[in-house]
Amino acid sequence: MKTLHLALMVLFAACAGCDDEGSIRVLNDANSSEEQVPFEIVSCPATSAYTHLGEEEVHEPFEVVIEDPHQFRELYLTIDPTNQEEIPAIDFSENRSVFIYLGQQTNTFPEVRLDEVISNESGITVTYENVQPSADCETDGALTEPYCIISLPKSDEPIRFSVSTVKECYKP
Amino acid sequence: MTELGCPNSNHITNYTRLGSPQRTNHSELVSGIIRAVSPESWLYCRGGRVLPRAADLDGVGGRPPIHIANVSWGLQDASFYQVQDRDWDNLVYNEGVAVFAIAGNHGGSGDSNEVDSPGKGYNVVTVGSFSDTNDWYSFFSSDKNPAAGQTKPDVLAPGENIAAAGRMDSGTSFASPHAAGFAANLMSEWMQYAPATLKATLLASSTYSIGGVSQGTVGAEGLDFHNAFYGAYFHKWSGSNSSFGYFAANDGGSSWDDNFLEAPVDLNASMSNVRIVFSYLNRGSWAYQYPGSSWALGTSYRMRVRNPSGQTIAYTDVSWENPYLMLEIDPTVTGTYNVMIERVGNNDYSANFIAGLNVTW
Repeated sequence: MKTLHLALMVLFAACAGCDDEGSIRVLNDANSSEEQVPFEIVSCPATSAYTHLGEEEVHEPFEVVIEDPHQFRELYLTIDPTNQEEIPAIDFSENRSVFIYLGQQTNTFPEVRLDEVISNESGITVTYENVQPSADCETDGALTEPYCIISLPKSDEPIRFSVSTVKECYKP
Repeated sequence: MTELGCPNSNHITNYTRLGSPQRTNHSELVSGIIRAVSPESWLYCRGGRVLPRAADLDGVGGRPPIHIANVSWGLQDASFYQVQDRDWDNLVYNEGVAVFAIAGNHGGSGDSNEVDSPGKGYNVVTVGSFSDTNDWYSFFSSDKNPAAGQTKPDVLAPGENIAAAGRMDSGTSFASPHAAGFAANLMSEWMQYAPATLKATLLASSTYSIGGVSQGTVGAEGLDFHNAFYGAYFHKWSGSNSSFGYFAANDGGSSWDDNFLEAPVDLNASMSNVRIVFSYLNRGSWAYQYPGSSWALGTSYRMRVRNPSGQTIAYTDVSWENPYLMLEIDPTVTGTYNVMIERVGNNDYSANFIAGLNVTW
């Protein structure tokens, strides 16, 4: 009987963390203390200006924490090589960066929408939405590679990600 | 062109923005391609991804009328003939505007690899993408037959790493304006082309070989500007539904062939790969009643070619799925060949007979 109670509790907790699109968000213990982590959005373009179709393609989505300016520069130039903007300046002596990349998309609609960054005793959770067009949306026929870069105060806390897919149509 | 938002009026020459919001990234690259391919055309843009308004069609502010529309957007994951397909097909049929639409960027994604709407339109010229770096079909370009069984896309144009108007991007969004701009150039030479004859011309002349094309899923191959401009013979017909019989009975020949449209074409034995395309318009409102059915085409035809001796040397099946017929022949003797078109299905009595023929060598 005790085993059954435990199983039901786990199921309940998992479903409470779900949303319509099946979030992978991990819930915190009810007694834990959560606090917002201040973060700065460095760059979150809905589209990138160029789609690289060369041999060194990076099209698969990823989430990565970067603590080194050289690694950041290399990744930034790989994802958005012809961006005419200056490479974003991040002070890595006091900050670290989170790079969320949605991979190659078939239209200009998808974007990364940052919700919040939460810290608790198990670490830091970056919560964001992967915004995609609904099936009844008309979309432009350009390939894009949406990404989002944020910076947050340097710490040793592990970072994990919680993403939910949101489907909607463009609203002017 | 119709986009979500339109280019900045200061960035494009010979251009009128029709009371729509300005949005630069996508629309400026699309318009930049059209401008580069067809420098002297007049460009209109209406935002919101809408059909041109009736008042737009005759030209705005004393500018030239609209003959061609580019649609660099689409509705994805829609298996059957949609409202968008119907409306843009009707624009072609009712207003004589040639419509170019994207195939979509769902290539290689399995069941969802069908072309977007309005690219499923029967009268719409649906444009897929290839790389002009290696002449290879773009991995992202949709090429699956729609549920209705049509062969789509109709033609292919460059769509990878396209640079114009200070921007560069990839996608079928940027293949379609290549075809639309090219069509503007063609129609500047031969206004009679619009739009059934124009489609026949594009299908007949698009012989530029592209690697990686799935056989049987792409109507023609890469646009070939030289082919389309030179060495082509064309003919057009336009009238009521019953006019087919009139044209057939009064285009010469014996009483035996009074049921056939006939188009004599002089060919030389030195020619090879002569491509003959007969294209006709279908009512969108009719097709919308029969999604996924061979009834979607209100009229059906078949075509044969006779050599100068009167022998049939090539013939097609009935056009159950596509509103066009295509043949390729290698003439063995020099002389006048006879292209003969027979109407074998006439379910949509309200449909006018609007058709074109092109022979390219």
